[in-house]
Amino acid sequence: MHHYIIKRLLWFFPVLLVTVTLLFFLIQVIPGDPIRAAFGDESPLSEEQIAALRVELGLDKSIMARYFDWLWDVMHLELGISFYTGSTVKEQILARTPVTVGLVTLSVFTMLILSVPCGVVSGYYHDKWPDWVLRFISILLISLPHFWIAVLAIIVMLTVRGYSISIEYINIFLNPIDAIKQLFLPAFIMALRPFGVGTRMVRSAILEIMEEDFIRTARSKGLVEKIVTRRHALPNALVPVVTFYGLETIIAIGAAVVMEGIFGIPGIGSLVVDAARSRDLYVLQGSILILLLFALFLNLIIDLLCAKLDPRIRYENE
Amino acid sequence: MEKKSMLKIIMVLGVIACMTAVSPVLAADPQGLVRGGVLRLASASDAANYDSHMTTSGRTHSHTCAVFNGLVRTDPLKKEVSAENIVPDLAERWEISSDGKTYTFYLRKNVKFHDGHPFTAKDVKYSLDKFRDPKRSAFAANVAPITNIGIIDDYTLKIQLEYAYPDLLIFLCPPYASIYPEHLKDVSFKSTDILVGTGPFKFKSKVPGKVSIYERNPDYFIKGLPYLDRYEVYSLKFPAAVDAFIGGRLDCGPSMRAYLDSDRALVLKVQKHAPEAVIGLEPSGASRGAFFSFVHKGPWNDVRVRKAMAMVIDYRDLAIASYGGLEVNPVVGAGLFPFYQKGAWTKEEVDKAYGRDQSMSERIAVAKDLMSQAGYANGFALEAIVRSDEAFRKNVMLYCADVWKKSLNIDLSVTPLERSIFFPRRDTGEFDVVNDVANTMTGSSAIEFLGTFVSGETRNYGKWSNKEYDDLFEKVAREQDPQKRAELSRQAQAIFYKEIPYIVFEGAVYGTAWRPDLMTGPVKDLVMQPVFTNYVSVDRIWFKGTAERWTKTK
Amino acid sequence: MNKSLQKKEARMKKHIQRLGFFFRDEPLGTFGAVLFLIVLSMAIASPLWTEKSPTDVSIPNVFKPPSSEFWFGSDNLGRDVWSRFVYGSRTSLLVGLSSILLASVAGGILGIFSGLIGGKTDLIIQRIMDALLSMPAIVLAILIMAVLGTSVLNTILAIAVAYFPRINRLTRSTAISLRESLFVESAIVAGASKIRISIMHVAPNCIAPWLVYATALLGTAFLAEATLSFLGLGVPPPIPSWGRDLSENLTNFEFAPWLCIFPGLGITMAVFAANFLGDSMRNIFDPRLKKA
Repeated sequence: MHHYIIKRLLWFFPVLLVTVTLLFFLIQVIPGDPIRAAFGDESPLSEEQIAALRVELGLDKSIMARYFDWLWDVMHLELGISFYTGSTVKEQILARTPVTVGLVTLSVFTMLILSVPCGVVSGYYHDKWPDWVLRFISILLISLPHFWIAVLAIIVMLTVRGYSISIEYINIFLNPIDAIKQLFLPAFIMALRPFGVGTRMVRSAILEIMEEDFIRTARSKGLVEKIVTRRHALPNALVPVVTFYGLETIIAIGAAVVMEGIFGIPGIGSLVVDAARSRDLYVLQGSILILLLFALFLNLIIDLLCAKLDPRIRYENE
Repeated sequence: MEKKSMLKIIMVLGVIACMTAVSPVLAADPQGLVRGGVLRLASASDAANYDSHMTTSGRTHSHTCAVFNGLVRTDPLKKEVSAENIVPDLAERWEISSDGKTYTFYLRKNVKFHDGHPFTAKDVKYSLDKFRDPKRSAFAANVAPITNIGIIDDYTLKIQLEYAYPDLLIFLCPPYASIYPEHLKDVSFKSTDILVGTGPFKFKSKVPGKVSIYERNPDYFIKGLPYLDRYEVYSLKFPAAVDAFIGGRLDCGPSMRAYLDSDRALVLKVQKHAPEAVIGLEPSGASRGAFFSFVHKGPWNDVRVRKAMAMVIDYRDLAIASYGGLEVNPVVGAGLFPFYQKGAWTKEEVDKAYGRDQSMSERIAVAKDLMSQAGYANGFALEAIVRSDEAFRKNVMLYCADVWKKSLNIDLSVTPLERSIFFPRRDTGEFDVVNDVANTMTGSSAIEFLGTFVSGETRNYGKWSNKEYDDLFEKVAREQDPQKRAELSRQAQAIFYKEIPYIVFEGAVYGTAWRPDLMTGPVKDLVMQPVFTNYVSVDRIWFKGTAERWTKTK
Repeated sequence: MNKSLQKKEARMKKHIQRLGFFFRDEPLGTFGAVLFLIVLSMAIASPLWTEKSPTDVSIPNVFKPPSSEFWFGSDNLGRDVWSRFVYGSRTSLLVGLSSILLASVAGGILGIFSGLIGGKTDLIIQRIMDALLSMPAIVLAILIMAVLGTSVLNTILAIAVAYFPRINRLTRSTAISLRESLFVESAIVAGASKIRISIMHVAPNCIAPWLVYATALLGTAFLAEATLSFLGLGVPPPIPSWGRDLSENLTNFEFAPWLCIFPGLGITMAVFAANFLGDSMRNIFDPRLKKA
């Protein structure tokens, strides 16, 4: 196990380096002048001012020099400033991260609570009407664009319950109850799609287990076999479950990007979209980097958990 | 175990602290005026900077107006912006020499910046020198006649002008000509460290992308003001901001001008869900329209073609296309000047210039004739660029494309561009047609309206140049007699309407909605001023009610 | 001659029989297939479904509710929402299908190549794929749109780039398992070149899982296009797009709900059809599930 952990951790860094490099060069391709883009509309700058800003921000250097600057800065988590608002990217990310983490966590929990029982029912009644209905609903849920549902939900809630979007900034770690109240509706809507997928995943897992049960009964068994099942079959069945929910968490980050804008939630997601629209170079770079780090860490945790559950994975890799 | 109980104590303390923080203590004034409370308003995003000299955006001014003062200000209790309605701000009084070329300002004494530094003439000189420097100010052209600013003593200041310039005082009003502290001249205008002014509110904290909080300045130089305890600006995008306002979580709705296409829906929505809210929509003086480029060569360089294109537009249809409908305070048609302005061409005159006094079929016939005279009987193709972030600009151009195609066989393609590509192209005339605003600072002076189309002016996006027009503009700026000035400016307008470098589509509307118990000074309702939106007189705003959430719903 | 014709007929019969089985075993899949055909015909033969142009402005007709003249109502410029709905399917399908096609071909070829060659090349390619895969697809697409700017081609590219590592992974693992299989080994022994092996032996065997996966991704691609357009980062106007039509009319929701409901329904319909089709394909091709 230790070998595997070390090996997996060592793999983390080349992937991180590749990611950071890809991100940097992708951003460099952005057409148009980033300085003009950020300052052009509201406060026209003279050529000298643009040139001075370019020097100040290091944009006059060669691309490789900027690349190494960027690597150095990333190591220090100094992610530059927003061309638009002038606040540092680090400051913005620190303020916004708890919100997105809260939203994503809440959504994954909601999805977990909903999808497991539904999947079990669907699998148990395989190819009978409850299965058809649940399959229909789950595919419907996968197909619904969640931004559409969000828009409908806001209007319905406004008309029926006088719901309104909360504008207070609530940190989920400091004030969990209020934060959950604030984030519940978007988290629930975000959970709908993965709930559909999750139901189908649990369904097929149940189908497999039922098949295994059948084989097991066919072979006459004893206590030993039971222990074998508990020790090996169950953890093995858990591997896809862990992988699934891990990957869904990563996808939920993507969903949060859209949802935060609609609900006016000040998370990393709305930062990404705003920066992409206004082409605020460093903010875009920094906020996507943070999402990437999230995702890479989640991947790492999934892999380690799976290796813990299924020894085959770690032997194969050792 | 110990740690847990400690945590509990901290949590309890935290809850108590929160409770005291959110229940504002409101005290009634002898005249029934209530002190205290928090004003929460929304801005589409964080301020790009805190440099009110450099920025035309309300995103900046909603912050700077609370922190900084001007030398003089428009009367917060009067609606009209004009030279007669100017009242003292940081200047106690002023004298104008008989030839109108020298202004002497006597400043208030014992005024302190928020950091304790005393305010003196040095700060005014520093700020106004910046304000009139084209490199550090977007409004330098408005105060171009200033030749020198001299400090007489710590509290006296003399401004020398090249020629008499009656509009000077209007251009020295906030939120544009803020007085910044001279001792912080090296601080970046993008940093919140620059937010050290003499104004009614002090900067307290900022959560980027979310909220900036300002606290009452107890040492504000007008005793007893401001009435509010706190002033908060939330960065909230549309439509989330509208929903938050309807839910009673904001006291002042988002500015509606950026979303003119959906104003109707927005106003209707507020009316439906928050019927008690007060909605204010005011023409701003700025106009929107299509600039033709004289950098790009094409059929539109021929004045007959421009005239034909202007003639076939139905301004009522155009307003519907832009506004979504006419039931809520529509502005149909506009001129280079707002029609209500002194010395402006009247609506009838403008209509006649564009041939709008005839029926549409007659207009089309005349326009077709003009097109064949110019040699484009079979039409031509051109491209309009618009900003991609505001849909109404695109909608208006789509309407024009439809009309021009159907009546004149002109193929107009509409290209929405992102800011980074749009602005450099607009500013250098790299387009055929561009939809944008003929912007003004105060919306009250002939110099601003005419100035947009003077040769070499940045806002003259199409780079139109007319010697006769430039000469007339020069005369208008120097003319003292209001009557003669109006006459000259009418002559300049005649050239503008004959040459049509810019088809005026509509007058821009500025507007917002606010909670019904929001008051200002002795006046019963909040005064909305054209261009200067309500936040300018933020020191006099107070609440009659005390509710945290003011709407009935929930 | 006659014999081959008979053979053809027999084959046809078999195909029809198979199709019959599909209808019988997969009623939901059939439903999806029919729905998909409807969307496809709307996209290909749009003028047959509507006579009106989706971009024709008509100011007297702004905000007309659904009626016999305007089946789905009209929008803020008096444009017919039904024809925008029909033509919107064109954008959705064009972007969805081309991006998945692009991703499948590029990802498939690279996957087979990488799986067969192995070694350091494989290692490097797979680390790049790891990096791309670690990001949520929609975030990657947003990033690419921000870089390239909005256009139909760029939207296709952005979605293709976001999904191609997934297809690459799949074909690579199939290729690896095939590399170890007997018939490929014997081909290597027989002295066949790697290119020949990949074309003759590996590629055909990758097709089934590849097809299933591509169909499964199709719905996601439709959704990605709609999301990008909704965020204002997708196809530019005046091209009708469900996602953009929806986002542009958000404020009009309460007073002209048809402007928000129909584009949303359009997106749902296309994605729904693709997902049912994909789901049934998987059920057919995945023998384990079939047995159970």
